[in-house]
Amino acid sequence: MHTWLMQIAVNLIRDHIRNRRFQFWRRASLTAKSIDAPGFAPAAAGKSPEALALLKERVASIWTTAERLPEKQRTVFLLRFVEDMDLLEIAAATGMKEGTVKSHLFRALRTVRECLGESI
Amino acid sequence: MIAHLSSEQLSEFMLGRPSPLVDQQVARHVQNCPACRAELANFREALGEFRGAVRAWGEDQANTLAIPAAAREPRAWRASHQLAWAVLIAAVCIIASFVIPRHPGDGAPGSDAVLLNQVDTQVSRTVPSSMEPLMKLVAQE
Repeated sequence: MHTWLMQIAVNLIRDHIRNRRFQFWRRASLTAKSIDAPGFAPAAAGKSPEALALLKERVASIWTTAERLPEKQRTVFLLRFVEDMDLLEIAAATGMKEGTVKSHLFRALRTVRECLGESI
Repeated sequence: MIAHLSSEQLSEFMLGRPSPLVDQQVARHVQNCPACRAELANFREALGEFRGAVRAWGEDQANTLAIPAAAREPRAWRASHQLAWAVLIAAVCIIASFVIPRHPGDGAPGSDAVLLNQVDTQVSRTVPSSMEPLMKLVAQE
C-alpha cells in the first residue's frame, strides 16, 4: 500500500514537472526564437575540469544538432531523450503513427551521432 | 560474427527495443565487440548528460521566466483595461449629454405660472373631469 501510494505521488510530481517543462518548451517554440546553446551545467561531481569541458562540449553539440533537425525529428528526439516518453506516448502526443515516430527518431539519432562523432 | 552495428541497429539499441529477429545476434556481437560496446556506451552517456542538462536548464528557465511573466501580464492587462473602461465611460457620458434631448419645459420661464393655472382649473371644478359628461346630461334634463 505504501509503495503504491508513493508511486502515485511520484507520478503526480513527475507529471507536474513535465507539464511545467512542456509549457516552457511550448512558449519557447511559439516565440520562434532560437535558443542558443544555453549555459548547460552537466553534473560536475567527481569529474576533472577537462572531462567537464568535454562533457559541456558534447551536450552543446547535441543541442546545436537537435536545433538544426527538421521540426518533426527534433520534436520526437526531445520527447524521447529529454522527456523519456516511449514511442506510443510520443505517437499519442504528436498524432503520428508509431512507425512514423520511429522513423523520425532513427533519422534524428543518425544525424546526432554523426555530428557527435565529428565534434569529438 | 556480424559486422559492426548498422545505424538502424544502433538506434534500436538506443531506443531500448532491438527487433526480436536480430536481437540475439546483435546482442552477441555487442558483447564481443569492444568498439561497438564503446560506441553504444558513449552515445548513451552523451544523451544521458544531454537529458540531464536540458532538463535542469528547462526547469530553471520555467521557474525564472514563468513567475515574472505570470505576475506581470495580469497587472499590465488590468491597468490597460481600467484605462480603456475609463475612457469609454467618459466618451459615453459626453456623447449622451449631446444626444439625449432635454425635457421641453425644463427650466423655461413661466413654467411655474402654467402649472399654477392648471392646478387652479382642477381645484375650481365642482366635479372631477371624468364626471363632467354626466353633469352635462343632468343639466340638459
